Amino acid sequence: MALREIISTGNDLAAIAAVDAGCRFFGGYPITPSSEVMHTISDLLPAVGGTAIQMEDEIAGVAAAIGAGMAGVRTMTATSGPGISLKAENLGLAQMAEVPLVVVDVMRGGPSTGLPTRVSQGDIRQSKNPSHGDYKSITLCAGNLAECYTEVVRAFNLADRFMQPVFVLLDETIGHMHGKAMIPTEEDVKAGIVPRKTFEGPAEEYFPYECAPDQPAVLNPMFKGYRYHFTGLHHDKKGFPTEEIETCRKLIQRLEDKVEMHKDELESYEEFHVEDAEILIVAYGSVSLAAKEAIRHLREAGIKAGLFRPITIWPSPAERMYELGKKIPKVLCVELNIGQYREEVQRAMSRLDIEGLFKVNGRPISPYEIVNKVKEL
Amino acid sequence: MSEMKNIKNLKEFSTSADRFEGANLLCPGCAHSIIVREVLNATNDDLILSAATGCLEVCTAVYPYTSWDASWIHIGFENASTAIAGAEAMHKALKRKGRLKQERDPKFVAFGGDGATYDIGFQWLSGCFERGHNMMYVCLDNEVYANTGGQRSSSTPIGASATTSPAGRVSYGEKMNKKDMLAIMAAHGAPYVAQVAPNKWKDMIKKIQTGFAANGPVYINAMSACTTEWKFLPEDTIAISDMATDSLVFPLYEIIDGTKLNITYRPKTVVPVEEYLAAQGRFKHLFKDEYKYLIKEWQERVDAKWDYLQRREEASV
Repeated sequence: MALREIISTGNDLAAIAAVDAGCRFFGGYPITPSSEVMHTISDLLPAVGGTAIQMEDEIAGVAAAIGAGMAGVRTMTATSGPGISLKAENLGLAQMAEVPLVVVDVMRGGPSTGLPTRVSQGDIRQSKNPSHGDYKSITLCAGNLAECYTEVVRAFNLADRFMQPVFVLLDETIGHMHGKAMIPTEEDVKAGIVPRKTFEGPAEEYFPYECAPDQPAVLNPMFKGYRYHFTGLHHDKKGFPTEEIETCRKLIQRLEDKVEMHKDELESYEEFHVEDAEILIVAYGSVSLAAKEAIRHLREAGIKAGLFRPITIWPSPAERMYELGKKIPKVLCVELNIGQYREEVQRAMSRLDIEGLFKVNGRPISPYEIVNKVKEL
Repeated sequence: MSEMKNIKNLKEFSTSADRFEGANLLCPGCAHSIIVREVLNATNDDLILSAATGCLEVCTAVYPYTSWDASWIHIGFENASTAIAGAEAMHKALKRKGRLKQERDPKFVAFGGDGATYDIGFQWLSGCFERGHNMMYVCLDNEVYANTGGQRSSSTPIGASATTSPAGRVSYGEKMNKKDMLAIMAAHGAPYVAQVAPNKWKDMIKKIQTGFAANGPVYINAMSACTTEWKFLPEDTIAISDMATDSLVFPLYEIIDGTKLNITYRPKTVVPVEEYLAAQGRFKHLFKDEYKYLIKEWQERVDAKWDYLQRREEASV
């Protein structure tokens, strides 16, 4: 695949990727450190006939994006943790009604207003369960500039494949990082677009929520002659509210299974020097860059360290982590939170002895901190 | 009972004891600090203040410093109004139970920018006014989200270039007209609603004092010229403010009990809107030939609004 060279920031790359991937609607609200995504997309979308609207608050921002998703276009919102907190109710609606949507979350310190201009990875848990009830989130996490582009592109295809919101987590460091990235050409991205499934038969035979127990709803774009009903209530095959026992059970089970039974389509991770590793570092996002640097230094000092970097955070690459956990004696999670992903690593590896190097003061973790921590173990 | 300050001239004003310190991180030339100072300087009563997330909040309370010599609350972006309403309700309850010994009630004042007021905090503010809390809400209206990088708000006027309504090849910038917050807040039946500008400080202090004396929720819309986002030199803040009030882009008036409108300032010479626009970088593109019609439309809108205000005043409605 041909690559092109671009000098940009993570936030700008996310906006460019969205437009290249066919996104034609953006609903958002200013919030540090993600505002540049909205700035850039407000510039780019009108030129391709798309629409970028700044709404009156975070809730309206995601609601407008969901409305556009219901209408049938590729749609996105961008925000940071406090914005996700406000958007949570509508994200639940999108899960329930099965509306595809990409949510870029540039993470900053929390909880509450937190540390608006400083880095954090505190939204790992939030992106798994932003809203109440049973559903299965899909969360991708960019670990370098190029991935701010490629993961947003992938998110759009996954949103249409699974018919639900897909999170792309950036952190403040990656979002504001400025540098060179090698990204796929626009042509390749366009060629790779897999649009959502649609129903082509006669309108009276169309039941959007009548699908196999492991498949998402088939929602035809609006204004094309097909009628159905959107609701946040439990609903039947046509989308109308129901309390019928079996229909309710099947619906929620399907929301779980459409992701759970197709995890192989979602799984994505990077391994760096894990073959002979005696100590495994688990890190993602900007922290993984420091971890790689640390591993180079550790290897020079004769310490066999390796990195496992999940790119799809939810659902986690649990099987692979289990295998690695069985053969590598020491595991260290390095995160800009107090071990939000360590819990998942413990679960996936079925072991509790996972070491942690965590920081929650808004400052990045340096390679030397990781080196020193590993030497202590 | 409340105690108002009696300030006769600018010299007295400048030497009057201050509960908002000049030591803050606001941009040089920012009108926010002038307005806040004037509001706080209007009374000798105790103050309980809140500020929404925004320039004022991030620039006046940077640990370990504070610019506020008064009780001050910051919660979120949307809830400065409800935070102060909660404090006011608590005060009322304690007083009713006889657990407060003060003779004079404190004043409850919330500050928010136009993003916090016109957009995200709008329903919260409306709720406070519907419930009738005894509070003053001051909107520092700089017509832009200045704290997060200059995005448009629903206060941004037509034709202004902002980061999310950029002027360029395909657009002249913001396309929507500014929301009329004074009319909306007056429609709640609030006892007092007024528009103020820091350059007309006597008019402003009078209005703030009227607001403090009122019984119920008071809305003050304070024009706050923003050197960074309106794009003018820091030393020109008051000159730009003068142009705003003298061109009638920001007419100064008050609405009492939602039903009686008074114009409080009539410029001796009305400045053309064009001059006000020309002085600011955010309107620079309007002077290209293809967009000049927008300047004419601006003038027509301002004239129509002024005519409307005068008719309301005359009819005492």
